[in-house]
Amino acid sequence: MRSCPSAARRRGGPAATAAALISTMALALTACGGASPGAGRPAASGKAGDTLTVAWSVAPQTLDPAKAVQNDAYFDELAYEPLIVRRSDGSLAPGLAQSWAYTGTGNTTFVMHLRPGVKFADGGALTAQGVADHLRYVLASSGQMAPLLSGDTFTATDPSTVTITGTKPNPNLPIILTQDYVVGGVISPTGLHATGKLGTRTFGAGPYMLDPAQTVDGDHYTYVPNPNYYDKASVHWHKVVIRVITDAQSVLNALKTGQADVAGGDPSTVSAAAQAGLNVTGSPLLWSGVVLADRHGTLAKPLADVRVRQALNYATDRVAITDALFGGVGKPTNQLTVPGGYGFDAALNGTYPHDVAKAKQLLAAAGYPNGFSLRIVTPEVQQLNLVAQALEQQWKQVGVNLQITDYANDNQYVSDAFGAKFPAFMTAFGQLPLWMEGPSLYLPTASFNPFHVADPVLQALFDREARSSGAEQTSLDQQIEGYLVHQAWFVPVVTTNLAYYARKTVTGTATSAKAPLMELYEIQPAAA
Amino acid sequence: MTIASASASSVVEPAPAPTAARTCRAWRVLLRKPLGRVAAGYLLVVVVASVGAPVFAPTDPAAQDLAHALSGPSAAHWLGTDRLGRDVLSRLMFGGQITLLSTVEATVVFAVLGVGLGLVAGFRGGWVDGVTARFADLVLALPAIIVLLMVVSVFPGDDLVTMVALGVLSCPTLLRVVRGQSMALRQELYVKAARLAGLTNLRIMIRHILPRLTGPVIVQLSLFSAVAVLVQAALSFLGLSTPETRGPSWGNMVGEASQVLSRDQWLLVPTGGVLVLTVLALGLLGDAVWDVTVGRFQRTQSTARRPVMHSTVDTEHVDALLSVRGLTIAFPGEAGDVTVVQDVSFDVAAGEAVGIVGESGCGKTMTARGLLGLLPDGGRIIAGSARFEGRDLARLTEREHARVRGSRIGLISQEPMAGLDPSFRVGSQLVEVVRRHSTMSRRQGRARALELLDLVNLPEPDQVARRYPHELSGGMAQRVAIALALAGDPVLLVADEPTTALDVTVQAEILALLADLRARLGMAVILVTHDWGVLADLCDRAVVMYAGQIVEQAGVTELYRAPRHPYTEGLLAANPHLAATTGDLPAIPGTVPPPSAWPVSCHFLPRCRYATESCGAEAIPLGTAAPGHLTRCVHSDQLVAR
Amino acid sequence: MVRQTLRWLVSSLVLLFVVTALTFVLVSLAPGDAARSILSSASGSYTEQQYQQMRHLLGIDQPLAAQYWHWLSNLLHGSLGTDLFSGQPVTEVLADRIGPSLSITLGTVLVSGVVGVGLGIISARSGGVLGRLVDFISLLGLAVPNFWLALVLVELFAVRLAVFPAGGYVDPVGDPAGWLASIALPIITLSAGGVAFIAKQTRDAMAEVLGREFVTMLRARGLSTGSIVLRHALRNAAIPVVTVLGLLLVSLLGGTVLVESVFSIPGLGQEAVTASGGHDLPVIAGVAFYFTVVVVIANLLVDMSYRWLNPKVRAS
Repeated sequence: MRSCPSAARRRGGPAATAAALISTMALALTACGGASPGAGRPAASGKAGDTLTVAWSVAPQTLDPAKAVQNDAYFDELAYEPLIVRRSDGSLAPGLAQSWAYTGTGNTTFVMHLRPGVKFADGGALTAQGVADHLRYVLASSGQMAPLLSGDTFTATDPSTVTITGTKPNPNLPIILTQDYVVGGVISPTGLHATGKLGTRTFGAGPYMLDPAQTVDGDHYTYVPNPNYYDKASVHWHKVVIRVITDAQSVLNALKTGQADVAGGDPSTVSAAAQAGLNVTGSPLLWSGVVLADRHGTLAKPLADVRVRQALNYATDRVAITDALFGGVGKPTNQLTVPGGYGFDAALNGTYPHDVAKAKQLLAAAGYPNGFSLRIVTPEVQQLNLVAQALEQQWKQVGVNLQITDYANDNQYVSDAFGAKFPAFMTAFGQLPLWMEGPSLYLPTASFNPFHVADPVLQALFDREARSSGAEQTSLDQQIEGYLVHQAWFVPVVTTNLAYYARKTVTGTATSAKAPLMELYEIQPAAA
Repeated sequence: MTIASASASSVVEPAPAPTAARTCRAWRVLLRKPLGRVAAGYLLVVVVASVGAPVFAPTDPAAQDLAHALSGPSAAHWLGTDRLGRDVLSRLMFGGQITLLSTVEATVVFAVLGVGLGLVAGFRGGWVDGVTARFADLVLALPAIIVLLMVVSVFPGDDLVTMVALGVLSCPTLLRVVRGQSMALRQELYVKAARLAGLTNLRIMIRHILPRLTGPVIVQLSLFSAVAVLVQAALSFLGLSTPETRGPSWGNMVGEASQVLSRDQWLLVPTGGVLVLTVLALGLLGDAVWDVTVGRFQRTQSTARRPVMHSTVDTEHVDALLSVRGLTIAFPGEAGDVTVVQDVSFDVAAGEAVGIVGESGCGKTMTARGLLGLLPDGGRIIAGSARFEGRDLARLTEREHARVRGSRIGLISQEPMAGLDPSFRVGSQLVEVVRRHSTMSRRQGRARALELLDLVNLPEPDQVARRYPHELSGGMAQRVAIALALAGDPVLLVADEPTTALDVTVQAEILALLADLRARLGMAVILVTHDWGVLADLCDRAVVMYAGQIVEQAGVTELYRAPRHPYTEGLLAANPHLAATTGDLPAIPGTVPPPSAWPVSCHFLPRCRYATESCGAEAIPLGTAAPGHLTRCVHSDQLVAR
Repeated sequence: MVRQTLRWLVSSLVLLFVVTALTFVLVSLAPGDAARSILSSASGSYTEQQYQQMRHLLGIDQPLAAQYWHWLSNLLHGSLGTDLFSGQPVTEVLADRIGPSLSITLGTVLVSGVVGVGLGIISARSGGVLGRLVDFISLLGLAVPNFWLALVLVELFAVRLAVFPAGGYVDPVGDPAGWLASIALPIITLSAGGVAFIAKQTRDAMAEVLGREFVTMLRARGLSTGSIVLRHALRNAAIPVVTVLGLLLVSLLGGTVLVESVFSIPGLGQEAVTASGGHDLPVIAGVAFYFTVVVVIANLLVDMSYRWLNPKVRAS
C-alpha cells in the first residue's frame, strides 16, 4: 500500500522497473463473512507441471512477511498461506481463516475463525495464539504494513478464534490480511522464535516452501511443494522459480526464449510482447504524474498558490504524452485513481483540458506572468523520466522552467523525494482504498506529503470515510478524490495497466478490474 | 567498460624515441597514410560537429515531436527520432560535447600525471623513482571499477570528478612508458653534456627530454582517450553519469536504444555506430602514430619467388658436391632492389674445406645463408644456381629447403649463445633435432644426443644435456651448436665465423675440433671468416670476397704466397697472424662501401693503391691468373711482379 | 625464493590495506547512508529518532577509524561482517556470486588467450591481406563498447536465433551444458576486447622473437615451421603474453559489471553496483576485498609463470 517510491529497493539496480513502484489497489469488500467452505483456491485443471519460472523485476529485500514491502508479495505468498485469499476475480476466499466478520458497527472489532488441523511446513500446528503472536510480531516490526494495524490488539479468544480490536475504525482489514499485503501470511511458532532467520528462509503453511540450496539471494528463488499443505490439489507445480531480472527488455527476452513462463511487464515492452505471441494481461492500476509536494511554498513559493498548481494541470497535454509513451497501455487522467477504482468519477476527467491560455491566465493572476523555475526529481522507472522530459517541454509554453534531477538509483530518489529536498517529484502510484491511501498519499503523516501539509477539510472527509460503508463510503471516496483534484495537489498524467506476460504454455494469468494483481497461485500448465 | 585497453600498450617495449624534428616529419608522414588520414578526418568532423552543434545541428536536441516518436530515418530526421520524437542526429551532435569534454578532461589528467611523474621518476632516479614506481604499482592494482563506482556515488552526477578519477587510475600506464624512456635518455651523451653545461634539471627535462617523448606519449594518449570515450559512455549507459534528463550523451542514447530494442532496433545503429567509429578512429590514429614514430616490426614478407636467371658464365662442375654459379642476392630498398651479392661462383668437392674470406659487409655471410635459404627478411636470390646433390638450392621452395637444412647441410654461427633457444635444455634441443632427422624413439634420440655431445668433446655429456644455454660457457655453447649442426649427419657444414666470438684459447680448441670432425666424418666444410689464421688451419681452398663479388679464388697456400688481387694482399698484410711473420702492417685505407655505393667497375677501386684509369672504365671480369687461381684485377701481373 | 615470497606477501598486504581503507573513506564521503536507505525503502518516511536508532543498530554511528578497525579485526577471524540490509554474513552473500563472476572472467581469459594468441601468431607470421585483416579485427574488438555488443548479441543469438539464453546464470553442478550456454554470450562479449588485446601483444612479442638469431638457427637445423613457431618462439614470447593475460584478468573484474547487468547475471559486479547504491559498506568492502585478492593471486600466478617460462629467473 505504501506505494510508490517506497519501492526503492536497493537490489533494484539501475533499471528497477514497473513493479518497483506499485502498490496494490485492494478490492471491494465483497466476501465479508466466510464464503464457500473448503479450499480458497480454484481446483486444479489437470496434471501438475514441472517447473514454473516467474520473472520479476525487483529482488526482495527480505523474506520476512512482517518487514517485506508489498512488491515482495510473490516471494512470500508461495510459502506463507494468508489468512484470507484474494482470487483473481477480486473475490475473497478462505485461507487459514475459514470465516471472518466485523462485529458491531464502526469497523473496530474483527473476528476470524481458523481452519482446523492445519500444519506448517516445519510441522508446527496452526493455533489462534500463534496467529495473535504473528500479528503482534508484525506490529512490533514496524514494517511497511504496520501502520495499517497500529493501535490494534490481537487476542486468541478461543483455540480457533482470533479477535482484532482497534482503537480507530479500520474498514479494510479483510484486504490487509490477504496475500497481496504480505502480513496476512502467518509465520509458524518456530519462525517467530528464530526471527533472525526470517529474512532468508520461509516458515509458512503455504503450498510451497523456499529451498535455500537452490536459491541465490538477489537472483533466483526456488520453491518446492510443502508436504504438509492442507490442499494438495491446488499445488500445480513440482517447482516454482522466481528469477529477478531488472531490465524490462531482458524480461521480455527471457519470455521469448522460454527462460521464463510468466513475468511482470513494462509499458516500454507491452506492444513487443503482444507481437511476440505472448499472452498479455493486465488491468488499470497505476496513475503516473507529478506530486506537487511543496504546498506550503517552502522551497518553491509559487506552489503555495492553488492557481499555480491548477495552471500546471492545464499546461499538461496528457493525450500527446499517453499516445507517445503509453500507447495501448495507458489512458489520460485527471484523477488519482483508475477507471472502476476507488473514488473514480468520470466527470472529474474533464477538469483540466489542455489549455495553454487558461494556464497563462491563472499564472498571471497568481503573480507569475513570466512563469518560474521548478526543481523536480524523478526515478527511471515506468518511463517517469520520459514523462518528466515531456512535461518540461510542455510547461515551457507557459514559462515554467522544469529542472529535472534524474536518479537511476532508487534510494537516492526516495531519500530526496521523501526527504523534502525537492518541491515536486514524479511518481507512479498504485491506487488504493481511500482510507488506506490517506496515511501514504495525502494525510500530514504520509510519506508522499513530505512537507506535512495539513488540510482540515480533507481530514474531516477522511474521518467520516473510515467509519462508513456501502454507498455512503463510495460517495465519500468520490468527494475526497474531487477535493484532491480541484486543490491540484498533484498533476496526474496517465493511468496504466500493470501488465503481465505469459507464454502460451501456462494459463491463469488473467486479472480483473477488481483484482489487477496477477495471482501466482492460479497459474497452471496449459492443457496440452 | 574496457579499462583493459588502458593498459593495452603498457607492455610494448619503449623503443628509441624519435627526435623532435622527426616527430614533425612524422605528422606529415602520418597524414600521408590513408588510414591515419581517414581517422584524423573523422575525428575532425566529430569535433567540429560537436563543438559547432548549436550552429550545425538540424534541430534543438530537446525539441520533442511526440507524434513522430521512433520514426526511423527520414528526410526530416536523417538518423530518425527517439522515444520523445527528438532528432537523433542533433542529439548525437550535442551528445558529442559531453563525450569530448569528458575525454579531454580525463586525458589531460592522464597526460599531466603520467608525463610529469614519469619524467621526474625516470630523470631523478633514486628514492623518487622508487616511491613513484610503488605508487604506480598500487594504482594499477586498484579495482578500478569499484573506485569509479564509489566516486560516482560520492559525487552523483558530477562527471568532471569521475573523469579525473579515471585519469588518475589509468596514469600508471603512461607513467611507466615515460619513466622508461627518460631513464634511457638520461644516459645519453647530450643530456650529460647539458648537465655539465650547468642547465637545471627542469630545463633539461623540458628542452631536451620532453620533445623526444612526443611519439610514445601521443600513442598512449590516443589509446587512453579511446578508453575514456568508452568509460564515459558505459557510466552514462548505466545511468551513473549524465542521465538523459541532463541532456543527450552517446552512452545514455545507447541506453535509450536498449530500452526500446524490442520495438525499434534501428536506434542501436547510429548510437552504437558513432561510439565504435570514434574509438576505432582514435585507435587507428594511435596505431598510425606508432607506425610512424616508434617504428613497427617489419612483417615477414612471404618471399615472392621470381624466376631465377641462370648465369651462363661458366658451366657447373659436375663432380663437385656443391657447385655455385652466378649467385646474385638482392634486398628490397627504397629505390628498388639492392644487390648485395653479385655473380658468385665456386665449387666445393666432397670432403673439401673451402674458406670464404673478406671484411664484414662483403657478402660472405649472405652467400652462405643464401645457400641455406636463410636470408633475412626480404632478401632473395635473383639470379644464379647452386647445384647440390642433384638439386638447385637457388630454386628450392621453403619446404624443400627445410628438408636439406640440418640433414644435408649443417650450419654453425658466429654467436653460439644467441643461436640456442634460451628456454629449453641442451638435451631437449638436441633430441628434437636428432629425431627430426631420423625415426628414432625418444629414448634412442636421447642416447644419440649424448653421443653427439661426446663427439664434440664435451666432458660429462649427461650433465651438459641437463643445462640451459645460459648455464654454458661460450666454448661449451659452440660445441653444443656444433653437435646440433651434426645431429642430422650433414655432408656439408657451413661454419659462419665459428670462432670470432670466442677467446683465443677456446678458438684453437674449436678449430681443432672442427678439423678433427672433418677428418673423422668426411664432411665438406664452407668456412666463412675474416681471419687468415683460421682459414689456414682448416681450409684447402679459399674464395676472397669484396663488396659482394669474388675478387680472388685459389688454394690457401697459393693465396698466402702469391695473392693476385690488391684486396687480398691488403687483407693478408693487415692480418695479425701474418703480421707476426712479416713485420709489415700496411693497412687498407677506407672502409667497405654500402651496396648502393658500389662502383660499376672495380668495387675495390676507391681503396686500391694500384688503381689506374683503366680500372674505372667498365666491370672487371674474373680471370684466370694461373691454373686454379682466379682474380678480378687488371693489375694482377703487377702484384706477382712485386 | 623466501625473499620473493615475503616480498609478494608484504606488497599484497599493503595493497589490501590501501584498497579497503580507501573503500571505507569513499563510502563514508558519499551523501546519505545505509540507515536512510533501509528506513526509506522499508516505510518511506521516518523520524530522526528512528534514524539515529537505526544508525546505532548498524554500528555506523561510530567513528570511521573504529569501524575500519572493527572490520579488520573481524577479518582476522575470517569474517567480512554482515550485510546491513539482509543481516546475512557478507561471506555468504558473496559466496553465491563468486561462481558466476569467476566463470565469466576465467572463461574470457581462456577464450581471449587461445583465440588471441592464435590470431597474434597468424598476424605475426603472415603479411598481406590476412595480417591486415587480423589487425583490423583486433582494433574493432577494442573499439566496440561491450555493453552495446552485448545488446546486439542478445538480439541476434538469443532472441532471433534462440541459440543461447538471453540472460541468467545456470549453476554448473547438475547442468553443465546449461552453464556453458548461460556464460557463452557474456564470454563472447568480453572476449571481443580480450582477444584484440591479447592478439596485439602476441603479435608484437612473436614478431620480436621470430626475428632473433636462434630462430634462424632452428630453421638451419631443419626443424619444422610448426615446431619453431609453436614450441620455440611461442615459449619465448610467452612472458609478455602472460603478463597481459594477468592484466586482462584484473581489468575484466571491471568489465563484468556491465555484462552482468545486461545479461542479468548475479555476479560480484552487480552486487557492487547495488551495494554502493545502498551504502552497504560491509558488502562493498567485501567485494573490494575479493577483487583485490583476485588481483593479488593473478600477480602471484604471473610471477610464478615467469619462473616457469624463463630458466634464468628460475635459477636466480
